[in-house]
Amino acid sequence: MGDFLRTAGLAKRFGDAEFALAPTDLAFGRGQFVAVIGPSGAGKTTFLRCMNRLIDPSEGKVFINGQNILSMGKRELRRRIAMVFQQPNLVPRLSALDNVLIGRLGFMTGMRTLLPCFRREDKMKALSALDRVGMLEYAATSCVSLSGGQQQRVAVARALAQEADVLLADEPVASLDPENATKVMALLKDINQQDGVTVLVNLHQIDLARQYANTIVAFKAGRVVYFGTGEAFMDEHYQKVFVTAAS
Amino acid sequence: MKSNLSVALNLLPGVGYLHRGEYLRGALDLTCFIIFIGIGRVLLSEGGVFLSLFVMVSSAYRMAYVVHVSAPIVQQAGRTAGGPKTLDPLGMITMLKPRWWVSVFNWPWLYILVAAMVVAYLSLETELSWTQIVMGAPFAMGLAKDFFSPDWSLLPNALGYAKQTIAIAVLGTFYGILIAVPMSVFCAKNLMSTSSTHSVYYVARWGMAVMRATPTFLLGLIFVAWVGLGPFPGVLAITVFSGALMTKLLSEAIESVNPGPIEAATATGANLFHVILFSVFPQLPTVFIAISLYCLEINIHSATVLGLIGAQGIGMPIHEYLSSLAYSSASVYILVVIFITVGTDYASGLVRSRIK
Repeated sequence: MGDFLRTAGLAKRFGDAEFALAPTDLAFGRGQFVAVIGPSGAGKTTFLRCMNRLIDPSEGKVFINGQNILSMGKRELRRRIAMVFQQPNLVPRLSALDNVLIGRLGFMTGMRTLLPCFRREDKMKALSALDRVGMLEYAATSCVSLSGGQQQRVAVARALAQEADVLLADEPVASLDPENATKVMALLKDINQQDGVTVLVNLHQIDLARQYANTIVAFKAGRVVYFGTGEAFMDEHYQKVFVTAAS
Repeated sequence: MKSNLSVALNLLPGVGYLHRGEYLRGALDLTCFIIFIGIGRVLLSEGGVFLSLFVMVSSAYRMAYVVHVSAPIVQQAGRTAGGPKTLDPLGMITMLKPRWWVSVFNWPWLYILVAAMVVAYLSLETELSWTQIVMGAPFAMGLAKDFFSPDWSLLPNALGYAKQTIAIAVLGTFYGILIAVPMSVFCAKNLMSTSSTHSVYYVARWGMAVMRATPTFLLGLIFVAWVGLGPFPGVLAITVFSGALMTKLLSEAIESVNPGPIEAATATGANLFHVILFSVFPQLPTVFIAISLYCLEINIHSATVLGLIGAQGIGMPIHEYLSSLAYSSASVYILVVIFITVGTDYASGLVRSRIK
């Protein structure tokens, strides 16, 4: 499957508790669309957040294009890995454009760090990202007046503006209605196919995972119970992941 | 005879516990009882001992009464009743002939007396005297008569001083904001969460607490000694005090902002400075305006008081006129102060309700 993004014994435990994420060895090729599925508390979010070190893993390594992320600077790493959250996490009072520009903050270097004003180039990138998600006409609108689905699309644009190699999405459609969920998933698929961005999406809707993903990783109680193609994911696997041991 | 003695002994607090073998709790209760009587003796001499006794015994009765009332219910439920299985005098009285005063025993006398003792002690400490309030009334009336015939010819003069006071307050608030905006970041726990910045948080918090605890009056005295008399030390004192106060209020506001946008910006690779600038501060403008106006109100008040220690402004002539007993002149200045304070209160309240 290629090893553009590879985890080697990646594990996380909080305090002395049991593993939230048991040692995991996975490898994804460049440009794959990966759905990470599993019931709540299975370790999906922990897995995703270890990738861009929003959570520091307790054990193991993650390699991106052969480079260990733990030896990279956090800034450099996060510039290459964009993230979309369950909530849009937009700054309410700023316009959609300003929110998308936040995605360009990681690229500010040198004196620009102290005098934060965005270059024309950054603004153009942000505007084209907004255009891509179909929100260009709302560029100057304050984010409080956007609907939930529109806000999530602006959040996708913010990730898009980073021009990252990898896009992590932590339950991006969990708080959206079906129509908006489809829109956002289609956007992620489009980014995956047009730009060749490797996408990792946490989902709990199995049908969405089957529909969009070419690779499925299923977690249960912190352990990987399925890793393979979307087509090969059958009802028996579904039983294994979502139905408890009682059956 | 023997049973009577046992009833009397059972009135002592803690004995019930001793009966049941809970010696520690019993001893604790008895010790508290003795200390309580001791306090009564110290505060209110012999009468206090009896008062304390009455309170304690009535409190014990209260508990016994509760046990007495609940016992049949508990027994009915098939459980054994808790508490000492002795005669309950109050219960018997209640059963035989209910009287209105029986309930008086059931008041929470312990709490009432503790509150009364605290008030009595505080009254002694502050030399409270109700007679003085009545006896001194004529003098106050004379003073009030002077106050209600203000010498309006001094009004232009008073307004000039008022302008200076407002200038001190506004400038002090402005410099206070300049201090508070960066400092509040260091005092916000959610932004200073990494191990390297944690110590900064504690140092900043501690420093701000000390600055805030220092009375404006003392700060004024220090700055008068430092830069000499005039309105300038007033500005400095207000800067320091309101800077510390605003730091506290603003850092609390920062701690309560939505953490989502902060996390989102962090995940793009932005550094802490950028996160603050683009994700934290844009969430705060209304809170910031409200805090600034609130501080301005306080500062106008403080600037008036600072006049008394030589920081000029309208406080200075008030102090001078009052010490030379020229009440009708002082009254003009005081009325101007009242007008300014009420005016800023009203104006800032209006603005704050608009920006919500």
